[in-house]
Amino acid sequence: MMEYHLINIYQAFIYIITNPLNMGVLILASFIGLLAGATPGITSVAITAILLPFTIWLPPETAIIALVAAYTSAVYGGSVSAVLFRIPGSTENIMTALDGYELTKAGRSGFALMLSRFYSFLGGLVGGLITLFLTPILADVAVMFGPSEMFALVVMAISFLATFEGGVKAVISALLGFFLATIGSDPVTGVYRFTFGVTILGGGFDLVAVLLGIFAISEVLRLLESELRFEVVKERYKFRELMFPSKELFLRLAPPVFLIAAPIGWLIGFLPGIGATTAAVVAYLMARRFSKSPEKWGTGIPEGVAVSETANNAAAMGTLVPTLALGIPGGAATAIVLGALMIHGVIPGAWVFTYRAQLGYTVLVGTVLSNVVFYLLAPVVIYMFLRLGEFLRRNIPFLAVMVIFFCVFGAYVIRNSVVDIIATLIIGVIAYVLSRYKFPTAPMAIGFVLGPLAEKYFRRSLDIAFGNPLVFISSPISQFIYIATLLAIVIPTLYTRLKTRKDVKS
Amino acid sequence: MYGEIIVFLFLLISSSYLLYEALKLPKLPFVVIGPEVWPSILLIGIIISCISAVVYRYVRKNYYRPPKLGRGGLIRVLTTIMFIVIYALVFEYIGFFISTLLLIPIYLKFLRVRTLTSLVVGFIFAMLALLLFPVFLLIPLPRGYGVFYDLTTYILGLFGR
Repeated sequence: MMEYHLINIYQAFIYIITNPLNMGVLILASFIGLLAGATPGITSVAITAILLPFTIWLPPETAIIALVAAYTSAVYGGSVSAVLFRIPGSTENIMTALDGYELTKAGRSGFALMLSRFYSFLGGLVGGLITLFLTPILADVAVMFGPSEMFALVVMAISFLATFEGGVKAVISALLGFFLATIGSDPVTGVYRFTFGVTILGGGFDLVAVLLGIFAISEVLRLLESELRFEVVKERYKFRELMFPSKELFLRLAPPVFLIAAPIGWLIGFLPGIGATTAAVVAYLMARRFSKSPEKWGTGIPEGVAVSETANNAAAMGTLVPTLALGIPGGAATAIVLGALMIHGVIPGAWVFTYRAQLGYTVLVGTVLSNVVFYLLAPVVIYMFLRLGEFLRRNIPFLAVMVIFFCVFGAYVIRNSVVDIIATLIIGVIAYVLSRYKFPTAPMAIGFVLGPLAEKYFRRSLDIAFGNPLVFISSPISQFIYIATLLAIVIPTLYTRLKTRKDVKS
Repeated sequence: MYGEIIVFLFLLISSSYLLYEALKLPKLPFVVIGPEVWPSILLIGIIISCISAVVYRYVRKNYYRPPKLGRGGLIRVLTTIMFIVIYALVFEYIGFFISTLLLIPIYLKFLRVRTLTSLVVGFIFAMLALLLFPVFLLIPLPRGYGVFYDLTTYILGLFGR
C-alpha cells in the first residue's frame, strides 16, 4: 500500500516539474495569490473565485493546482498587510495582526514579515506532507465528527478565550462578537433576528466587514487621536535575518509550532466545514494557554506570528482532504476547488486516489510545491509592501487614507452594498470606544469567527437528540475533547501556581 | 471617571433591549431549539458581566481612566467618521471614481496635507480603484447616476471596460 502511495507521489512530482505548463501556472497563480492576499480587501476566497473562470480551459490537474496555489499563497500574502497595517489581508490572518502589528509599531516589521513568511512556508509544508501521506488513509475519520463532536471542539476554543487579559472586559468583548454573529437570518428557521427592517442585514454581517471594522477602522481612529507625524525607526537588516529565523529563535518557537500549531491547524482544516480562520484562532489560543507567559501574547512576540501563520497554512492544506476524498469542502475556498473539479467532470471521492490517481496525487504534490514557490516569490512582494509601510507610517494622513480606502472598497465589494461600509464603520467605532476603555478587541473578532459554528452545532446536536443535553457528552470523541480541554485549563494553572510557590520559597 | 461606568451601562441597557427583542422572536412548533435561545444565552451573559463589572467598580472605587483625548484629536476622529459616512452615502450616487477623486483630497486637506499633494494622492487612489477592481479583477463598482454615470463609463471605456 505504502509503496503504491510513494510511487504515485514520485510520478506526480516528476509530472509537475517536467511539464512547463504546470510549472508556469504554479508560479503565476502563486504570484497572483501573493499580491491579492497582501492587498487589503481581496481575500483568499475572492482570488480563488476570480481565478476560477481562467482555469476552465486548462487540464483538470493544472486547473486545480492553479486554484490551490493561489489560495495557499493568498493565505500567506494576507499576513503582509496584517503585519504592516493591521488589516488582515485574508480572514485567516486575523491572529497574525495582533502580534505582527505590534512588532511593526516597535520598528521590527521586517522581522515580523520574515517570521510570517518562514512559518507560513513551514506550516504549509508540514500540513502538505501530512495531507500527502495520510489523505487516502484518514479520509474516513473526518466523517466521524458529528455536530456534538464539533460543538466540543468549539467549546475547547471558547475555553481558551479565558486566557485573554482584561477579565470581565474580555468576556464581554467575546460575547459581543458571538452576538454580532447572530444578527441576520436564523440558519435553522430562516427567522430574521435583530435586523430592524434592514433587509440586507438578513444575510448577517460579513466576516471581512467585521474584521475591517475591529482591526483597521479602530486602529486608524486611534492613530488620528495623536500627532500626525511620528518618528519611525529606520529598519536595517542583514539579508540572512530577512530569510530565516536564528537557530535560537527557531528552537524557542519549535514546541508551540510543531506540537500545537501545525497538528491542530491541520486537524481543524481536515474537519469539514470549519476552515483555516478557525484553525488559526484555536491554535493561537491553545498555544497561548500553554505558554509560560501568556500575558505577553498580543504585545508583539514572535510566537504569536509563528503559531498563527503555521496553523492557517497547515489548515489550508488540511481542507483539501475532505474536499478531494469525501467531496465535502473544508472551507469556502475549497468549495470553489470542488466546483472546479466538477466543472472538469471529476466527481470527488476516495476513488480519486485509485482510479484517477494521477489527478489526486498531482493535486496533492502541487499543493506542497506551491508552498516552495510562494516562499521563493515572497521577497519581491515583501520588499514592495515593506517600503510602502515605512513611508505610510511616517505620514499618518496617507496611512489613514489608504486604510479607509481599502475598508470602503473591501466592505463594498462583499455584496455590492453601502450597508456593509456603514456596518464596518459602526463596528469600527464600537471597537475604538471599547479599546479606549481597555476592552481587548481581539476576543470580539474571535467570538465572531466561532459564533456561527458554536450556534450551528449547539442547535443541531440538541435537535438530533430532541433537546436532551446529554448528547454533548455521549460520544467518546466528545468526552475525549472535553477531558483534554479540562486538562488544558487545569495543567497550566497548576504549573503556574506551583512555580510561583517555588519562586516564593526560594 | 464615570466614562467606564457609562460604557458598561450602555452595554447593559442595549443588551436588555436586545434580549427583549430576542424573546419576541416567533416560536415555531416544530423546532426543538428556537431562534431566540442562543442570542438570549449570549445577551444574558453580557448583562450579568456588565452588572458584576459595575458593582465591582462601584464597591472598590476602582475606575479606569483612558488617556485624555485632546481637542485636535477629537476633531480628527469625528471628521474621519463623518468622512467615511459621506463617502459611503455618495459612493453609489456619484460613482466610485468621482467620489474617490473628490473626497480624498478634501479629507487630506483637512489633515493639513498640501493642496497639490492631496490632489495627486486623490488621483492615485481613484486610478488604483479603477484599475484594481473593474479593470483587472472584473469586480463591478457603482458608476453613479446621470452625468456621473456617463463620466465614469467614459473613463472605464478608455481601459476597455
